[in-house]
Amino acid sequence: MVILGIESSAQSASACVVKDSKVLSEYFLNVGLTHSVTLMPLVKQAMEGAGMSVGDLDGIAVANGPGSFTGVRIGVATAKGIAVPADIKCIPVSTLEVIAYPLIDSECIAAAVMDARCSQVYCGLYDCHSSSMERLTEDSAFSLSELAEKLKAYDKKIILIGDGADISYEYLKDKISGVYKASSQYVYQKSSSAALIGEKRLINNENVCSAEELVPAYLRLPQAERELKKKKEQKQ
Amino acid sequence: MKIYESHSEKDTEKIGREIGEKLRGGDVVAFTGGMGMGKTVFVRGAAEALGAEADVCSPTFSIVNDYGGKIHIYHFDMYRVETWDSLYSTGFFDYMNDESILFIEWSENIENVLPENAVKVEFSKGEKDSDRIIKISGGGGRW
Repeated sequence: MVILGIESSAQSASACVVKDSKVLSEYFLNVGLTHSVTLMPLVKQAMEGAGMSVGDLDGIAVANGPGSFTGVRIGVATAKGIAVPADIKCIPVSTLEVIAYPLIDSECIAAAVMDARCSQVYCGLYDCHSSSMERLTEDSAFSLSELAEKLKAYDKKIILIGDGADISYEYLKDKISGVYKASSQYVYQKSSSAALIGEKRLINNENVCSAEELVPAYLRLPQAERELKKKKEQKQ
Repeated sequence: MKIYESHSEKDTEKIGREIGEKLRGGDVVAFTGGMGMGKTVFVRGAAEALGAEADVCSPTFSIVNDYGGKIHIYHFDMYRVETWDSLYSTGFFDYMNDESILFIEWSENIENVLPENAVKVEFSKGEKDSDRIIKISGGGGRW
């Protein structure tokens, strides 16, 4: 089974080809939000490096959010564009699950956290044990204080992972015991995690969709309920 | 705080150039002061000082213009941005980083998300129709 993996939800972008659970190629760039320029060449290099053409693909796994508004859109649009002409199946994978995936072999609660600005994070919690990962919570957007409240409910070792790990750890370290940060090499998520998760889903025919059905998954920030402007009357 | 008096578009552009020379990556420049005050002219001067690669024009319809440059320059108009969701969908949060400078017209519409150290540029009318008072403050103590 051959899967193309695409990830461009935040600062970095990557593309890979996975065949029968083996990563054949993976290209990664972390040079700012220039995904509209860099992602397609990464896909091309990953495909050529693995010696694959579009006709060889059984599925396209894409990290479909939450994350940067434009980043998620570029990733999803790229997957759609490749999938539509050849009618390739698509597997949307939560970006938070992609982030947590490197901890699959640990015995811990993986707290995947993305910096959503203004002291807010996108967060998904996963119970990692016996080389499997079980979702504990729906992907959500929290303020750091809400995150602390959520994490207090668990007495297992919690590992923060993702580009929100630093700000979350700084906030949580004196408030909750048993909270750790993943190694800095895991700050940026990789397309191979999306592809490996996607491959399993495709085999089990779980959360697989057509290119037309593939959509970004955005989360509403807690601050979205608050007033954006301080003085409404100024505009009149 | 620094207060400038401008008597013409040319003056405003020159003041913009002077401020532009002191800006650095990560800065957010927040304008207030109504229509036709010279905000875009000010940005033209600042962008020139920063080595912009494209001509400055009003982002009223595009919402954001990208002028390139060694430190990337983005020019927003928030006049039509009323909610968090619409702000998010402009990509505003994607543009805020240490390698970029953001110029924000109608910043009063998004005042609650401006960084603490934003450079505030407040326009008001002077004695004559063509006169403008331009108050600069913030920027982490630079003004």
